[in-house]
Amino acid sequence: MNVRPTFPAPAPPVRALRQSMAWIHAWLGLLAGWILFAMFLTGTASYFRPEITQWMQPELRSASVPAEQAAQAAINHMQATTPDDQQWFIYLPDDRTAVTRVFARAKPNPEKPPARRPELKLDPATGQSLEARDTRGGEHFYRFHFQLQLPHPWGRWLAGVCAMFMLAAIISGVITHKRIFVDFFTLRWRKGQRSWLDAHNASAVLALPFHAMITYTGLITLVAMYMPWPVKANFDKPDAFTTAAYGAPAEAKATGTPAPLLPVGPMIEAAGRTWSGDAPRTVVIRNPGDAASTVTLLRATGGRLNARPDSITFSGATGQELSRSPSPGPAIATAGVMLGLHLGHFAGPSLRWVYFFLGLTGAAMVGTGLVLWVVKRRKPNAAPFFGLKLVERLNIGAIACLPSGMAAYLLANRLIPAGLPGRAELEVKAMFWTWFGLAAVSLLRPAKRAWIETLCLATLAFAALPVVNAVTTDRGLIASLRTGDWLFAGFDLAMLAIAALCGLAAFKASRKPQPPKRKASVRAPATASPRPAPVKESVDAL
Amino acid sequence: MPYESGLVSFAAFTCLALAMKKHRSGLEPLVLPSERVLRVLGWCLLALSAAVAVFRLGPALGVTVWIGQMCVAAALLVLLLSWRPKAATALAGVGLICAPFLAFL
Amino acid sequence: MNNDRSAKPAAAWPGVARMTARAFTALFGGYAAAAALASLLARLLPIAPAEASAWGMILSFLAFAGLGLWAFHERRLAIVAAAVWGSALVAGAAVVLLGARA
Repeated sequence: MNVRPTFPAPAPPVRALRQSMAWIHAWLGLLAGWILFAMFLTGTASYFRPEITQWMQPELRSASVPAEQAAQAAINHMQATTPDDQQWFIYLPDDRTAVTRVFARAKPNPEKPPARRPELKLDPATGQSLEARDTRGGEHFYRFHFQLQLPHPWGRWLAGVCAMFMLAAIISGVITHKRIFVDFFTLRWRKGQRSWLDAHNASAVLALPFHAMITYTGLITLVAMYMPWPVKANFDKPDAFTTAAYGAPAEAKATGTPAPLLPVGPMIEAAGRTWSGDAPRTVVIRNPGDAASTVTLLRATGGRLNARPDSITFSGATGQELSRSPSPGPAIATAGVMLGLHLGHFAGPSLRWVYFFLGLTGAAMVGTGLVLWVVKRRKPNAAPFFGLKLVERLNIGAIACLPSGMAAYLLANRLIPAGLPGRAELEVKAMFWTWFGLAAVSLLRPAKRAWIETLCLATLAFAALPVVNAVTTDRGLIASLRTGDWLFAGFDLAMLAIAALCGLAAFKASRKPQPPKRKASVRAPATASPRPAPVKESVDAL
Repeated sequence: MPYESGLVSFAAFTCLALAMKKHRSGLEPLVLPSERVLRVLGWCLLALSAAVAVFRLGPALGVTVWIGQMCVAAALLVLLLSWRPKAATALAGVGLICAPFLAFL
Repeated sequence: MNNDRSAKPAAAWPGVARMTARAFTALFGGYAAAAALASLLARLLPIAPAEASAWGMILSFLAFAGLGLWAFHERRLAIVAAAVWGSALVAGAAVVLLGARA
């Protein structure tokens, strides 16, 4: 279907299912593709969120600290600095995170609503604030992935709409892909439009279980926000659902009677007895210092698929166990497993790399689809119409410029002085200024050159990272290989691998498609100039 | 994470690919079994890769790991097959031979 | 896209308006219908309320995607609008009238 789409697009009077699905698949992919590509890249990076954060604070060295010590040290610090908070959410360190992270919420004040405080990073052994450069770390990519740097709730809603478009695109794509088995292994290089179609099909079909899973489970992660209605159908108050589903005690109101918070060590020990020795991953303290204070311990999920942890709640003032989470019913367990599959916390290191690779395949699926849209509609002898030029420029901006932006975020971490106030925001700004700035500058170049140059820049940016790391810190690639610091060594090597990938893309972008080979049995007229062979496959009449 | 499942999946997909006429053409000097034999072998190996993963890791994690490794194996095979088909075939054979050793290590 | 302009001129509305209406129905109507149907399912399933609500939430996105795609497959816009908005209204009204269980 090499017809230039008219705008406004004609209504689809088609009856054939494959054709209507092909039509809607192209529109869904086109409208959501640019944002989806960014969600895929930042989401894929987020599988290494703690590692990225560690790399971005090279001053810190991880030391394993028992849960009781880390928890009590953090609580002591919070009691010393902000004893009148309403809630402390304490994430204890583990084998991937070297610090104790605390999210504190102040008591609500109707006259002057308290500002949302940023995450606190504390030394796990002493509970003191960390002496390390201030940075968002991997949290930035993670939050961008589902909030798109937009104010709440618009970012999450937009991400949700894009995820729904993705789900519908997957379903329509499968329906429309006629030769799904015949073309399963087909990947032809340098054949122009055919190659892009092959690449789009291959990246989509070969990892189809992953793409379908990640899209659907992604929607489930924010289902409470996207689809609260089934809860409202059964429960007048949403808290009633939470209690019925997870057994969490309703948020207890502070009584106003002060009572000191008991040490958490014995509580953690008691929980360990119930949980066959497992330590808690998270400690939630509500109304500390009050007689009605509660200490909720959330179990580390370990290798279990269900991401919803077991929990036990103790009274903070008396140390008695108040409640524990019930074992979930099948639906709640299903939701928990879906959450777990999306987050991938259960995965060990090699399975996490599988997630990473498949996530990149997802990005490739979206990216090749966007490029295919343009390549299909470009006619060799006609000037490109406005829509085509617009889509091609957006493609360059969304696909080729984002990697440079992400590299810039990491480079900024090394180049901005560690003690500079507000450096965390500057790092984030570096990513967006680079991404959008590069996209704007690329408008000045012809499209083909823009692709090559932006991809070359991404190659340089990623290749520069290990160099800048070695120059600005004492944990460069050689040093970390020598000391067996696998996190830093692996990170630098991964940056080099990504640089190689971008370089390969730039190289491929600079090559022309092969002229079609003429079969020996066909006698070509001697004077005829070669014309590009028409695309015979009407498969996927896109 | 045990890799035997992925190696067996890789071999399985190679068999299924070579059972198709269009992918056999790059391997002239090699004598391949018939299309039918390869197709049956491919499906059997795919089932074996699932069994291996579930046996080692239990149903939930096993199925997850099976699917994950299967997708990676398929993607890598397609890339390799489009670039160097003979290498892909050789790798499939080597992988299949190594898999039992990994399984019982 | 489609170049079969010889198809009959169809309804009275011009092309843009029809496509906009169809897209609006698919996106917003589809959401409303999926939410309403999922809520009705949650309300009627004879299992624990929390479990029923959870199943409703989990299945709702499938319903939304299915309805949305069907809205672009079915040729007659009137049928699409009636089915999508109709099911949203009927299921929604049923849920509201039944009231919460707990």
